[in-house]
Amino acid sequence: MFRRSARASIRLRAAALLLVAGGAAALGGCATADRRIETREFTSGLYASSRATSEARAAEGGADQTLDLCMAGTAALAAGDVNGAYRHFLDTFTDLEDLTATTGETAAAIVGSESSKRWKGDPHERCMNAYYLGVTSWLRGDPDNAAASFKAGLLRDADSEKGAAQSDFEALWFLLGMAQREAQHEDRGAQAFAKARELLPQNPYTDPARTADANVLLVVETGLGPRKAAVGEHGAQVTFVRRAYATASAEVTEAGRSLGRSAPASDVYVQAVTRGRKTLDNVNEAKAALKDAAVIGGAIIASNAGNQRNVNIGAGMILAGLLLQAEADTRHWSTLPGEIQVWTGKLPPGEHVLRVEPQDASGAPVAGTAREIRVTVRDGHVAFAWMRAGPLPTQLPAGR
Amino acid sequence: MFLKTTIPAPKTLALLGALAALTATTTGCAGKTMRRLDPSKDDNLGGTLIDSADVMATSDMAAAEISKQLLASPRSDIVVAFSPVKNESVQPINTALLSDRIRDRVFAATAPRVKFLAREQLDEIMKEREGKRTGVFSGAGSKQLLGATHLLTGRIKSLSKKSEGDRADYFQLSFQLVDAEDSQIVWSNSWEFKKQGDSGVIYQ
Repeated sequence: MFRRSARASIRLRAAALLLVAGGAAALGGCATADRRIETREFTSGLYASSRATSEARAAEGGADQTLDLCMAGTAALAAGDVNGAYRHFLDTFTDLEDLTATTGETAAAIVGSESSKRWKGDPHERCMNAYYLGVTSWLRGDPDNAAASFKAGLLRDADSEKGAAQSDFEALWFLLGMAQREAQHEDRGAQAFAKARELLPQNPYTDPARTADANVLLVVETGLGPRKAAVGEHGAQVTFVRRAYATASAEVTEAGRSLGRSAPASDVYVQAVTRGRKTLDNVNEAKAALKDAAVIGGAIIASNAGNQRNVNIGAGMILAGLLLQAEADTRHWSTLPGEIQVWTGKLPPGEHVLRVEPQDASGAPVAGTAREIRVTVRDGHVAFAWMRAGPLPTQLPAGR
Repeated sequence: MFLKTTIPAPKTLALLGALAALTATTTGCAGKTMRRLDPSKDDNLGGTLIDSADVMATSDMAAAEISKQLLASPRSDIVVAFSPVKNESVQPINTALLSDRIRDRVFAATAPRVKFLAREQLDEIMKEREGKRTGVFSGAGSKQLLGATHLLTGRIKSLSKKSEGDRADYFQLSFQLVDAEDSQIVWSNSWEFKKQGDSGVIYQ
C-alpha cells in the first residue's frame, strides 16, 4: 500500500514536471516579427505605409534590422523615392557584406534558435540587395557604381554553392553588361553579355546584335518572390514556396505603337532553391533529432523511475528537449519580386514616354498595373528605367 | 518514431552544454558606445574591400608623386582638371573620396603655381556669369573660362575569389596625368593590395 502510494506520488510529480516543461517550452520560443502587415500593404499598393511599417521596425534595432531596411527599400522604390531606396540599399549592402559572427552569436544560433542571429539573408536575398543597389545607383545616374553593385551581387551568388550554379544570376550578368557599356568600362560589358547569352539563349534581348545597339533598357519586376517555410520534424528544414501571380510579361508601346514585350531574365524562386544547403540546416536537423531523443528518453526514465532522483533526471531531459529550438530560420524578404524581366529597344534621341502594360499568360492586361515611364535617349548612352508590375504607386521613379 | 530517433553521443551533449553556457555568458545586452578611430589605421571589423586606410594611403602617395611631377615641369601655365575616377571594381564606392583627397593635397603642394579647375560646378558658374552679365546679380568684369592643360584621372579595378565562406579581394587603384592637348600620358602609377577574410559558420 505504502509502496503503491509512493510510486503514484512520484508519477504525479513527473506529470507536474512535464506540464511545467511544456509551459516553459511554449514560453521559451524566440518571437520574431511577423511581416505580413507590410507585405500585405506592399501588395495592395500601399507602398508608403509598407515602408513606414518596415522603417518603424528597423528603428527598434535588433537582429532583423537589415531585413526591415531591405523591405523599406523595396517599398520606397516602388513608391518612386529612388534616393530613399538607395540609402536603404546602400546601408544594408554594407551589412550584408559582413558575414562575420561573434562567438556568442554563433553559440546562440547553434544552441538556441537560428533566428536569433542577425539576419543576413539567404544568398539569393543578398544578391537581390546588390541588384537593388545597382538599380537605384543607375536610376540616380551612376552606372559606374551600378556595375560595381551587379558585380558584387554575382559574387554573392557564389556564397553557399560550388559548381555549376555559381554565378548563374542571369539578370545580374545582363544588367552588368548594360551598365558597363553605359559607364564605358574597359570591355564595354562584352564578357558579361557573353555570360548572359550563355545563360539566357531564349531571351531575345541577350542577342549580341540587340545588345550592341540598344539605347533603352527597361527592367520589369513581376509577382512576388518565394515564401520561406519550415517543414519536417520540428520545422527543422527550410523550404521555399513559390507564390502565384498573374503577370507573365509586359507589353511596351509608344504612342500606340508596339515596341515589343519584356522577356524573363531571372526567376527569384529558382535562384532561391538552387543555392544548396547551409551549415545551419544540418545543425537544425541534428537538434531536431536530439530534441526527440531527449524528450522520449526523459519520458522513459521518468515513467520508470523508482526514485525521485530519476524522476528529476527524466524531467530535466524532457525540459531540455522541449526547450531546444530546432526550428529553421524562416525570416525572409517577402517583398522581393517573383521574376526580373528585361526589355531593350533602340529609339531616336530625345524624350520618350513608354507605356508599359503587364499582361497575364493569355496576353490579357492585368488590371490596374499599366503605367507610363519617361525616358531621355541620348546618343551613345543607354537610358535606364525600372518598374514593379504591381498596383499603381503614387509616383514612379523617372527613367535615366 | 522512437526507432528513427538518434540518441546523441555524450560528447555531443557535452559540447551543446558548453555552448549553452558560453551563450549565456556572451549574449548579454551591450550598451551603445562611441570610440574615435584613426582613419589611417585598419579597424577590427574585418572586411576585404577598400576602407579609409586604403583611401588615405593611396591618395597620399598619388598626391605626392603628382605634385612632384607638376612642380618639376618647366611650364608656368599648368591648369589641371579632374576627371571622375572610374570604378570598375566589385565595390560600390564614392570615388570622390579618392579624387577630392588627391586634389586637396596636390593643391596644397603646388598652388598657386598650378591652377585647378572646378568643372563639377560648371553649370552653377555659367548661371552666375549669366546673372552678372544680364544685371540680375551685381559684379563687374568678365573672364574667359580656363581650359585645362592636364587631366587627372583614375580607375579602380578588382579581382575577387570566394570559397567556403573565405573571400579574397585584390584591388588596383591607378591614376594618370594626361596632357589635355596631345593626350600624352605624362605620369601614371598604380597602387594595389589584397585582403582575405572569412565568414561566420552560421552564415555559410
